[in-house]
Amino acid sequence: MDHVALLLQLVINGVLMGGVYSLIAVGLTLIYGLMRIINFAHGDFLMLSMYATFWLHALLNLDPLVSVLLVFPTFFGLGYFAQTSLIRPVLKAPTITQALITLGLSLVMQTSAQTLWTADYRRVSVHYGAEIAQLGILRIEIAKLIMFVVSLTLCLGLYLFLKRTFVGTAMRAVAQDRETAQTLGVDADRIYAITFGIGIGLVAVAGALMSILFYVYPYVGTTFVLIAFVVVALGGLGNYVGTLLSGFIVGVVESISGYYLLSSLRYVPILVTFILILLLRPEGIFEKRLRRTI
Amino acid sequence: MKLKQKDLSYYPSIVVITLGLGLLFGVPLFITSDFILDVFLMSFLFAYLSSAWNIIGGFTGQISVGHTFFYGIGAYTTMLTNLRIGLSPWFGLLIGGLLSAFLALTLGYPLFRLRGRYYVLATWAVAEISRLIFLAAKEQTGGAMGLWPPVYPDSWWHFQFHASRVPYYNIMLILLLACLVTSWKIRYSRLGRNMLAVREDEDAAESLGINTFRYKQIAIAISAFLTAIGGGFYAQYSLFIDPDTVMSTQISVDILFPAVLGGIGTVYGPIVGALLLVPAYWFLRVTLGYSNLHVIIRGVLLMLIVLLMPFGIVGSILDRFSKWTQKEMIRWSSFRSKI
Repeated sequence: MDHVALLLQLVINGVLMGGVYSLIAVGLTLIYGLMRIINFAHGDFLMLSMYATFWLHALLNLDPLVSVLLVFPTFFGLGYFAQTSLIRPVLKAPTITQALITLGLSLVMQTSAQTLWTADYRRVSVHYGAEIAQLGILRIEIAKLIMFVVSLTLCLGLYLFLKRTFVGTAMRAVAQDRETAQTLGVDADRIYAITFGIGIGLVAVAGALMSILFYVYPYVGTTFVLIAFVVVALGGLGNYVGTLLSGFIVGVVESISGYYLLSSLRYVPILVTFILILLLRPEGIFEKRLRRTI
Repeated sequence: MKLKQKDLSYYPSIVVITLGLGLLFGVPLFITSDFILDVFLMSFLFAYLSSAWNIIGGFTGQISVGHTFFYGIGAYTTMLTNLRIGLSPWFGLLIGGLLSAFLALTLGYPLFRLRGRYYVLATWAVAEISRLIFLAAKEQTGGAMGLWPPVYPDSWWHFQFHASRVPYYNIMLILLLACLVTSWKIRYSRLGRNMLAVREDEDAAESLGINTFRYKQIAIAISAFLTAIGGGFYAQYSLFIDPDTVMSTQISVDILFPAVLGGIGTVYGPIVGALLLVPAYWFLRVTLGYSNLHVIIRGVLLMLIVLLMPFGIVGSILDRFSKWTQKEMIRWSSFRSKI
């Protein structure tokens, strides 16, 4: 019985974290689905937003949940600007050029953060950061629950945005066929910039939420975005629904393996999962049934 | 027949270049400043690494942004075999190279199922996850504390020279020449032509009976072997390694950028690129002081160069001078439209 309870607990923890992984990964997959760019700097926007939340809390005593409202539009703007200044010129360039641009951006952001704020670990401390709700034999961290609910709401909100609004429809149209969409009067360049902005805005919200639970340091983004990349590989690059579901799978795998393995082996299951996906289903596990590019 | 004749005409150029680089053995006779020698040496190291990267990234067209993985494997194998079983670093270099080639071949099975951007992403992910594993495995790798070998008096057997950097300099130059000749030999052989065929059009190559997977595997094995030896050399040169200095994305970028700048897929491109870039990095470092500022400027420069000259310098300059390079450029332009 104890084992069952423990396993259930681990699964719940995994699902809760999975929501955030989905939120990070959805931005990546959205960007890739539209402009075929792999954003290596995605994690660094996460880091930047964690710092923003940290400073808003430290200097203005702003609650991270309030910061979310500020962080989303700010990072939407940042993403919009990054797309128009850095990504747009290389949209038709070779893969290596595109990779070098986003890798370069990532390195610049990391070193800048280290120079500005040192490599110290910092943390936002809020009263609900350590609160736990007892649910029968299960314990649920309030902070994780909040993260989960907000992430899921945003993912579903994005889904509705893509399906129901004009801009969302234009985004899907550009993803399917850029030229045709353009002949029908869609400004593809603008749609690209908006998409990038939304992707960065979403990862920034994830960052703001995560700063309640995780330490902030200049290289924090890489760890999480690697998991997000595994999520994306599992769901199929550019596959929106697949990515959403994969987040939960990876969250649960990570939570269970994290409990049973030595801390030095923490990242091995992620690597193994990643390689297994590539070996067995390089197109992602949901490709056949849920094939819908966003 | 025609191809054969053309190949022979390349001989003078490789002889001239090799002899030219051979003259560099004389540099320590004139320059006694350790600092300048260090700049030369690091330029050679990155010319070497970039040439090794070029075999898989340039000839075969499989863009790896995770070469730091092989570099780190080489560095750690050399260091650990020296520390734990007291093996001479020379054997460590060899074991590291072979281990790295073996890992490259094993990883090749899943990774070469991917094409284009997916491959790029996968190489990055493998290298980064490995870095995290190396950081977390404190008992084995020292984690963020790093590793350093016991200090021996100057000796070739122990691969340690404290009195002067000249032995390191000579070893590195020999490695560079060996890598250059290897790269040149591959490029103008049947093996190299098949590799280029893989780069140009995988499906067409496959339909002509070229086993593309096999050539990618050969290329990555050679590249990984050479890269790991470079890593092992660095471990012995700096006598300190940690995951951030031998297994970070920064290193991957430093390895591939000289090739991108000098011209991907050309034999001399990576060398020209490194001889330009590394001294520039050191110049920045000296003028900006030893803060992190120079690293930021480097990153910004990288982005600027990539934005302004997406196709490299050597390729575009040489283009104007000879028919041969024009052909090379046609190949290259058809390549760039595809990746």
